[in-house]
Amino acid sequence: MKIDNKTLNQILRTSLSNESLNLIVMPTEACNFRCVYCYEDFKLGRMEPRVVRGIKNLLTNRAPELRQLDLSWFGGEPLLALDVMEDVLEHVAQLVAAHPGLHHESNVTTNAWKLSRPVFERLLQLGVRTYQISFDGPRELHDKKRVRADGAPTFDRIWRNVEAMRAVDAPFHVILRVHVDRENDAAMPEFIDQLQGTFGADPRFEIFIRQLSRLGGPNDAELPILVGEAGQRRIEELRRRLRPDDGRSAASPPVPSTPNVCYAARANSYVVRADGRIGKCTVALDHPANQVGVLHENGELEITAARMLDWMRGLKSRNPVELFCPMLGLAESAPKTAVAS
Amino acid sequence: MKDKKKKKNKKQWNKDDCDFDSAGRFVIKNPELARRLASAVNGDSGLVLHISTPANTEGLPEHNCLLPVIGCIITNKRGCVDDECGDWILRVIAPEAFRQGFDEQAQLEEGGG
Repeated sequence: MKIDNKTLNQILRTSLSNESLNLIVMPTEACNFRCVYCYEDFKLGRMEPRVVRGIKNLLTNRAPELRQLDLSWFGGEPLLALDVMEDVLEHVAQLVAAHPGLHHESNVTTNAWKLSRPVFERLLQLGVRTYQISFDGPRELHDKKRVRADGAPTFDRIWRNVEAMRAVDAPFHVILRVHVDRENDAAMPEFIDQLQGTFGADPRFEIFIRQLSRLGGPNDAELPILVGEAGQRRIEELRRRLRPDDGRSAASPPVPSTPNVCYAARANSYVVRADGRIGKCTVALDHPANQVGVLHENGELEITAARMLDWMRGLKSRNPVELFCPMLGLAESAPKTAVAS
Repeated sequence: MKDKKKKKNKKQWNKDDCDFDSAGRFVIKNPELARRLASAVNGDSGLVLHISTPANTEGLPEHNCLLPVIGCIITNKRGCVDDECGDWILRVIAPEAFRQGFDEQAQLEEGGG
């Protein structure tokens, strides 16, 4: 796919502008789950206080010129360090109050184990509007893969917490991410119907189906992933199940294809590790190419420009693959499914 | 062979042309690259970049230097070019504003009003 000039201009505007800043913050790299496909090593725990101060100082420095601040809370399991999130988000609320031109949005990728209704309402109050929560199929299959660190099952509590979110009268967006592999494939139609039946009528909930990926974890070789075109076709088939009455796909004109630009390809996006290291990609966390700098306590970022520019090469080459997954070619553990996608 | 090499480099960032400042902002050190990027979004507003040193400001008015050739305004953070903070902003403006600016600049140079 060739990127036309108009699309490229849009990409350049959003990717190079210093009026936007996207920080993917890891308030802890510890996790209470041990999903069998996970690629993280959990060696770093809670974010160090000096790093939290560094983030707050950085945001204070940038706030006067920023128009858009996007905070993505990631981990580990970010809700294990809720106090760190609160500390930073309360600071952001003060900055937004002081700078009317500044708009803030937060999202969180959480396993939802600790996402009780009071925690959810507190996060909403602090501006966390988007939640990504994963399921690995119906209970009996989910509980084989998405297990607690002590091996205990997790499905029932996650389901309860997600159901409780529906009752909250507020604007938010929940992405229910469903992983499909060869083991749970057969059970998926019924599970998707269950999700649809429970959440389908609420527009605040979105069901996102995708194949399980090998992302560099120790169990990669054993993961029963879907492969090739047949796998992709299966995912499309399951996605169509979400909208059985939608017969438009064949009749309507093709949707203009806009390349998907990964946050890691952008100049204004950083991952802040719990120890203050700065990265670009949330997958190959410890790969040398992903060590692009350090955040200091005073809020100063020490960035290695040459490494940043490697991640941003798609903006120059216009190569859609380099825009979609700049990790390909930089880190050996790049997701194999990225190319196929 | 030389041409091939040149073509390849065009697809990569020149590491001497750009940097990141201590606030994590993308900084363009080469005014020519700034011009090219500005041209890439010609007519669209919204791209704000930082240029570490003033582009060629000699002979330009003190406020909001209009660079009509590339359709952009270069100012420092306070909108004034004579501050020595060295932190310059390249702001792409709409073609109409650019043309108007060009006309005003031409009138100034001609001694008109």
